[in-house]
Order: sequence, then structure tokens, then C-alpha cells
Amino acid sequence: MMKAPRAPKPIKPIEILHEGVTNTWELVDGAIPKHEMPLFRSFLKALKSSLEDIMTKARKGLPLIGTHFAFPSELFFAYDCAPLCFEAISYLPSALFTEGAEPFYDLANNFGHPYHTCSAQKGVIGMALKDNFFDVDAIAVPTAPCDNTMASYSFFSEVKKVPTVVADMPTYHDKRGYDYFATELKNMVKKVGAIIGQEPNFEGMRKAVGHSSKAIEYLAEINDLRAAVPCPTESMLNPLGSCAQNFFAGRAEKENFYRDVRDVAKERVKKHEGPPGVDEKIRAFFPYMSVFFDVSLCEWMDREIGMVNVSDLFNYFFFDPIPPTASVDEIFNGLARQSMEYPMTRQSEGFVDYFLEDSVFLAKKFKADCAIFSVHIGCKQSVSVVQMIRETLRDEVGIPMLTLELDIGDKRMTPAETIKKKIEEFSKTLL
Amino acid sequence: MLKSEFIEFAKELKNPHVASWKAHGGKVVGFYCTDMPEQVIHAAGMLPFRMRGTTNQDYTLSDAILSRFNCTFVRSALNLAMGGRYDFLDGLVVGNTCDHIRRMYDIFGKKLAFEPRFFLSLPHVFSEEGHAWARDEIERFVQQLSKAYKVTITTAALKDALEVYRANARLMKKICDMRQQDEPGISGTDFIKIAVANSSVRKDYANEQLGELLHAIEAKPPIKNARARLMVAGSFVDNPDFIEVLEHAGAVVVADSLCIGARSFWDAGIEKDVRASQTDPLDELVTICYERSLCPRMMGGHAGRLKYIQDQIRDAHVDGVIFERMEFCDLHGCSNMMLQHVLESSGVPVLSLDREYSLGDTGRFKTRVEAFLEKIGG
Repeated sequence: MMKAPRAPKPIKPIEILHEGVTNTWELVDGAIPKHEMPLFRSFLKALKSSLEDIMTKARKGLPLIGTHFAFPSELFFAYDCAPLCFEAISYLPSALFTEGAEPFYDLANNFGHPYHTCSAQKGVIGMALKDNFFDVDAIAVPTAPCDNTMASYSFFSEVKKVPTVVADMPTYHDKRGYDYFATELKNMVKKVGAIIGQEPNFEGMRKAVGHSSKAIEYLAEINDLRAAVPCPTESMLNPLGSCAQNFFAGRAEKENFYRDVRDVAKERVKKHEGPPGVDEKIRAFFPYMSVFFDVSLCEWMDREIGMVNVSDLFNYFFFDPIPPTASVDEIFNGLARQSMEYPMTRQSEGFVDYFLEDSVFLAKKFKADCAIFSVHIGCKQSVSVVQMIRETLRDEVGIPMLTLELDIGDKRMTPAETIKKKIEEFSKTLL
Repeated sequence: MLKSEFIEFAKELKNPHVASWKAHGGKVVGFYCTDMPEQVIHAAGMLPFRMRGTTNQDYTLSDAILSRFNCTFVRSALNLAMGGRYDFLDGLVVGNTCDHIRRMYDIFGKKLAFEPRFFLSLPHVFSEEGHAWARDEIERFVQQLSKAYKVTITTAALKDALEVYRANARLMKKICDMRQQDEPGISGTDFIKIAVANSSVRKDYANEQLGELLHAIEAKPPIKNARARLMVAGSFVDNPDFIEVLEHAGAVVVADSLCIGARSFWDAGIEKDVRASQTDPLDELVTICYERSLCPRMMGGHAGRLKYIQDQIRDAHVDGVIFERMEFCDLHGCSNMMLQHVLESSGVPVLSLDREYSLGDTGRFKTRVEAFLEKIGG
């Protein structure tokens, strides 16, 4: 039974992002030759479209569901609602706007949020602290992959009193763990439906899973293509892909974006070409994440020093798509498995063996000359094993690893210029 | 100050009881965190030893593995382990309590080649499914421990262990009550020493010692004319010197919400009638280790943590609360923030302190505590 329509929730960050993305899109589309920056162009198009859909739904008074980046938003397409990835809402301003998300981080810090917590949630916390600025009807979040997920999301449930449903994720990535988590997801979908007053329509979920499954297939192709020398994709694909995976989850935009990227990569590999203007000298693999607060770093790496980020951990899936013929139960089981094997969750919530083995596998697959590890202040589970990853890559792949201590979403901790200097010095040792 | 050989165990790792236990062929199994079922280790005839960083001086060894973004407690304990100071351990139990500690399972295995290790993945939310999962985890732990050490852990042994731990919790609660008296029978510093010592010995031995300590506390003149009655809450504190710094200004710590302090025994089956119908020791362990958790590792546990603190404030007539957070402790950092806002809005004076595991900047603490006591009129 549908609840009576209610006043739309304030979604100022979405509106601001939409305005910024629209302006950037117009600039890129109008001023840059059509063959330039095809990946960024496709990303902006998908982002603009996704933001417009969210705004339309919000204006209609449909429920907004806050979700987590390492979590299958496809679940909530069982309802007439708009899922919103909180971490993307923190980091999109960080990546796209000069001012970044720093004003929101400051609001959160002023409220007492510790400086060393993850900026991925801190930005949205700051947004929620501004009057009539940002709110959602419910939040659905896992207990993984980190302390910050649990610590920061508690702010929304306990301080902002947003109804929050939590799916508990165990450490073990085995049948027992997958089955437990699948039950958690089923219970979660029921509880979210009760909060927003809707009955689930699992065909909506199936359609969303279909889009994501196609995207998974395209990404697998893209990753095979990226192994080519020279790498056919710009370094920028890594931060863009990290956002696309969760912010576009369950949407046609996700499928379209990855298809576009696949097509571009395929064409370039056919011609034995890298991206225009990129003279690949060094292939760098990021065993963790890319830097989000300054996407132009990727362009600098590509064009100024010829170091291409051939892949990061966030852009490789260690799971298969869910087949279109899957039953509803199989979809839940598949999403549970995908969620537990999702980039970062697999390596951070699981035991360190995943992290070590995946790093070796990816470094070899992408023929990396070196690795660069973003030691993000928020990720305590990964900072604990950086040295082990360095040693493993050295011993098993024979490549060196540079570590960058930073906040991937806050430029004030380690500014882009400092990062450039370190990468440049590192690159000199490789050539 | 209380005089006792037992409470001096807080100053060292391999205390005389551990040394004697080892000399007689006993096994010692280290464990991280309050929510681990140490009763199972006890039932297996071994000595459960809570992991600490006591006596650590620097991070020379551990920082070759860990990062400066790791909390200084795990860096300290690992540094000691890498320096051979934990060589008396015959096993290690780690849980998915926080990210820093969870990785100790990996690091002890990969970098120290330490075996046997045991891991418990306990749920982070309270639910029926979580209860069943936690029970399964504890049952598996019983089996793994039995297999690793070739011992039989019977139901009767588990029940006996639970009874020993219940008695221990009752004794600790009695001492805690003495700390809460109008004229406290014991200082917060001595209480933490007792709690630390209690976490580093067999509980049957501890119970004998605690019984004697109770008499000693009763015989001792109470603390009079304290400037203020404080509660301390937050990250892991096993260093009595930290509490001493707070009390040095003339306050007395009459309550705490610390994992090695009151949280280690609170509601741990003291009121036996609550669980009179439960005959399965595994179910009782689930209740103790999972359902009563006051650690911010539990999502949805804020209300319980707040109630516990509010009850303590009321029962111990607390004048002010000190929330302390070890640097890079995200769970307590965020939990403290939320608790602080609620308490302050209800008129409870609160001081928030950031600290490192090692007590290097006592001057700063003293100044801030002095100012806080001035503020609350102490």
C-alpha cells in the first residue's frame, strides 16, 4: 500500500552537482573537438542523466534512499524511489568543483567528527548538517568494508534520526558467509519497503540487475583491452569508473557508459594506439584507489610524464554478472556475493590474502611497471597492510611501489602539487 | 593508594602469575577485545590473556609494517610482539572488532608466523540471525581450540568457566560499587589497575585476589573531599597513569565506559536469574559476548551505550564526563561525538580529550583537566 505523498526532501547537493555537470558538459561538448576526451564526455552525459532522474523523482515526492558505495543499489529498484550513493555525493563535488567538498568536511569536523574519519561519508554528514540542504527518507547500508561505514552512518540514524537499515556482513567469503548476507539483503529490502510504504516489484530489481550485469560484462572486456600496450584508456577512467559503478548502479546509464568506454578502447587497441596526446612510458597500477580530489592529476600523469594508471582496485570485479534468467532468490544470492566481492570490500573486509593475491594478479594482468598506493587516512584496514602489499609486489612481480599518504577526497592534507612531486621523483627512478 | 602485589600486575606483561602458570606447563592464549569468549579458553584449561601495549616505549619494529594512521595501541602491542615480549603466548584470538585489531590476525600470521591463531567474526548488528551466527562462531571456536590443543572442552567445563566468570564479574562489580560510593573506597587509578590485572590472569586466581582486595579496600579510609566526580569513556585504556593524571588534579574517577574497565564485566551474567532458563553454555556466551556489547563496533548500539552512561552518571553522582579518543580510533571518535552532544544538551559537563596510547603529553592533559574542573566548579 502506497503512503500518502509527502513534501519533497531537500537535495541541494544534487541540484548543485547537476548545475555544475551541465555547465561542464556544455563546455566540453561545445569547445573541445568531438574526438577528444570521449570517456569524460560519456561520463558527464551519464552523470547528468542520472542526476536529472533523481531530481525528477525527488520533485514527485518519491522516496530517496541513501546507500553505500560498496553495496548493490540495484536492490532498491524494486521500489519507486531514487537510490543515492552517499560516498559519490561526497566525492563528486570533490572531483568536479574547485572548492571541492571541503566546506562540508569542515561542517562535519566542527560538529565533532574526528579529522581522521573517512571523507567519503564526512562530506554528506556536512551536507546534512546544513539547514534544509540535504535529507533522505531512509538509509540502507552494510557493516562493511570499514569502521568508518559503521561509525559515520550511525550519525544519520542517531543524530539526524533517518530510518536506517543495516545489513551485517561477515568476514568470511564462503558459502556460509554469502548465505548469511543474502538473508540480510532480503530482510533489508523488506524493511526499506515498510519504511517507505511500498510493496517490492522484483521486476524493477531484475531490470536494474540487467543493466549492471551488462556493465560487468563490458568492464571485463575493457579490462582485457586495458592490458594492451599502450593502454587504450586514459588514467581518468579510474576515478570516473569508481563513481560510475555505484552512482549509476542499476541504471541504463551504467550500461551505456561502459559500452562507450569499451567501444573507444576496442577501436584504439585495433589501431595499436593509446589515448590522443599520451605517450605511454610507464604503466602504473594502483593497488587501492585513485585520487578523487583532483581528477586533473590523471591528465598530468598521462600527458606530462607519460605514466598511465592502467587500473586501480576499484575498476576490476572479481565476480560474474547475474544471468537474466535468475530467479528472485538467485538474484539476492548473486547480489550478496557481488557485494561481498565488491572492490575494496573483498580486499578490506576479507582476510589479507585477497588483497595480496589480487594485487599480484592485477599487476601482472596489466603488465605494470610499478605500483602507487594511495594510503587514505580513512581506511584503517588497508593502511595496516600497505607494507605487506609492497613486499609482495616486489617479491612476486618485481615492481616497486610508491606510497602516498593522503586524504583522497580532501586536497588540504596532501596537496596535488606534493603528490605530483612524489610521483615525478618516483617516475625518474623507473626510466 | 591500594597496596597489593596483584594490582601491580598492571605494570607488566608477563606477570608472576603468568610466569608461574607457564613454569607449570600451562598454556596462555592472547586475545584482543572484550567481546571475545575468553571463557572458552578458560574452559580448555588455559590462561586467557588480554592483549596490551604495556611497557612499550617506541614503534621501531611495528612501524616497519603498520602506518602512522594506525592507532598507537595496536602499534604498541605489535611492537612488543615483534620484540619477543609476547613470547609467552601459545595462541592468539582476534575478532572483527575494529579495523586496526582485525588486521592483527593477518599480521601475526604473515609477518610473525604466529600459530595457532583463531578468528571470530561476530555480527555488527543485533538480530535473530546475528544471534544464530554468533552462536555458530563460538561453537566453531570451541571446536578449533579443542583441535589445535588436543583438549576436550566439555559442556560441564564451559558451565564451570561461566560460573567462575560470573563470580569474577560479581566481585568486580562490588569493587566498582565501592568506587561509586559518596566517599569512594577506591580511586579510579587503582580500579583500572585491578581491571588490567584481572584481564591478565586465570579468573579463578583473580577471584581469590579480588576477594582479598575487597577486604583491603573496606579496611582502607575512603577518599574524601574530591574536587569532582568524573566518568571516563572512550577508547582502550590499560594505562593507569592516564587515569592518575586526571585524578592528580584532585578529581576522582568514579565510573567508566572503557573496554578493559567496567565494560569488561558489566552485565556479564551477574544477575543469574536473568539467564536461569538458559542451560546451554553456548547460548549464554552469545548473550555475554554479543548481546550485551557496549562497544561502538555495534551499529544500532548507541541507545544502549547512552543509557549505560546516563545510568552511571546517575548512580555514581558524576559531575562531569571525560570522553577520550585515541588518535585514529574512528569508532570511538564518532561514538564520543554523538554521546557528547546528547549529554551536553542535557546539561552534563563534558571534556573531550584526544590522546595517544603512550602517555607523552601529560602537561596538556593536566591543564585541560584543571580547566574542566574549574568549569564544573570542582
